Amino acid sequence: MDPQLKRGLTDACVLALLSRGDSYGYRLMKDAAGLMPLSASTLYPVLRRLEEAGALLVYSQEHTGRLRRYYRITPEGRAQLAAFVREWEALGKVYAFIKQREAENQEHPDKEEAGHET
Amino acid sequence: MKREEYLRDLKLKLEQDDFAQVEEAIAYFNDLLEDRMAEEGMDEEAAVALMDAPDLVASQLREGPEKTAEQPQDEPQGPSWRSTVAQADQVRRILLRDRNMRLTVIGEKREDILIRHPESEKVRYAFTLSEGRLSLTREELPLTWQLFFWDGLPREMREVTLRVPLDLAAEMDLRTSNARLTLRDITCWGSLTAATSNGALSLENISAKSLSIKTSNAALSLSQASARQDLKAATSNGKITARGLSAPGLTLKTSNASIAVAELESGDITLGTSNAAIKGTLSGQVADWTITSRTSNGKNTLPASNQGGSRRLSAHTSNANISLKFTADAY
Repeated sequence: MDPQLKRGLTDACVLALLSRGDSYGYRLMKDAAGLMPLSASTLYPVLRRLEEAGALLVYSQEHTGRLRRYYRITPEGRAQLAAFVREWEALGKVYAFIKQREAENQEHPDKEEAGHET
Repeated sequence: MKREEYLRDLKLKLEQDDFAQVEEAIAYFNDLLEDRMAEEGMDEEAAVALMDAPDLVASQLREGPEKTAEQPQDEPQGPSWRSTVAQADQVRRILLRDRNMRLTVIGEKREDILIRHPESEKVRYAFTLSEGRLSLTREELPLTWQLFFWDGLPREMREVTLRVPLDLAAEMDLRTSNARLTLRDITCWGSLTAATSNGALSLENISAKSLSIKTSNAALSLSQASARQDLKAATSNGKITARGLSAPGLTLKTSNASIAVAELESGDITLGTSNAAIKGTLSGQVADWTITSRTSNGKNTLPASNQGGSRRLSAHTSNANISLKFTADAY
C-alpha cells in the first residue's frame, strides 16, 4: 500500500479506536489487529504523530502497582476524525464506481478491448 | 531475552540514532511488554520474543515524526511568496496547472513575464522553461495528505498572479479549480484556454487567436473580448454577461441562469441556457440572420425558425423568455 495512504488510514484508525474511550498501547494493538497489522514499533510513531498534532493527549495512571500510559482523543482529534470520514465518503463513491467497472470487466472481458467512445 | 535486556538494547540503539525522546519510547515499550505478559499470561522471554528486534524498532522509529527532518521540526515552514521572471520573447506557450487557487492574469507595460505564487510545506510548484514552453504546475500531494491535512495557506495567499506584456506572442493554457479566475488587458497571439470550477470567471479587454473559457457553478463575465477564430464560453448554474465580443463563431452556454448580451460582432452566434432568460441586443436586423430559437413556457421575440441572411443565430432556453432585439430593427 502507498505509505502515505497507509499513514492516513492508520492515524484515523487509532483516532477511531480512541473515540470510544481512553486506551493504552497494548490494547490499541489488539483492537486494531483485525483491521490492520500494527506492531509495537509501527504504533508508536502514530501515537507520537497524533500527540504532536494535538489530536490526542497522553497521561499516566496507576495500574496493578505500576504506572501505565493512556491515550485520550482531544476535540481536535475528533474534528480530524470527522473530517476524515466526510472526505472518504466522497471517495467511497469513486471506489464503488471503480469496483463495479472492474467487476463488469471481469464478466465481459471483450468490452475492455472496445474501449470508450466519448 | 529478558525484558530488561531487550529494553537496554533498544535504548542503546535509539541513543546511537540521536533519537529525541528515548525515555518516552522506552516507557512505551515497557508498557507493552508488561501488558502483554499480564493479559496473555506470558513470561518475559515469550513476550520479548514477540517484539521486533531493537535494530528494526530503531529504524521504524526513525521514520516517525522525530526525524522527518527535511525541514527542521521546531521551525515549521510558514507559507511565503515566490516570484519567477521569464523573458517574454522567449516564451511561445504558457501552461499553468493549479487547483483550489485563485488565478489572476494581467497584461501591463512590461517586457517580461512575472509569476507570483504562494509556497508552503504542502503547496509546492514545479516551474520549467524550455524550448519556449513556460510551465508552472502544482505538485500533487499523496492522497491522504490532500484529505487529512489542511494546506495551511491563509485566504489572502491563495492566489497565483501572472503579469505579462500587453502584447504576448504566445498561447496560454491556464487551469485551476474551486476559485476565481480573472484575465485582463492581454493581446495574445496564440489561442487562450482558461478553465476553473466553482468560481467566477471574468475576462476583460482580451484578444486571442481563439478563446476557450470555462467554469462551473459560478458567473461568467466577458467584456471586450475578441478572437480571430472561435470564442467559446461555458459555465453552469451561473449567469453569463457578455458585452463587446467579436469572433467569427461565438458560443455562450450555461444552465439555470440567464444570458445577457450586448454589442456582439459575429456571423455565427449560439446562446444556450435553461430555466432562465436570454436577453439583450444583436447587431443588424432580423432579416440578416438565419435563426433557430426555442423556449418553453416563455415568450420569444425571435422567430422559431427563419431562413434569412448569411448570419446564423441559435438561441435556446426553457421556462423563461427569450428577448433579443436587433439594433437596426425599428421595434
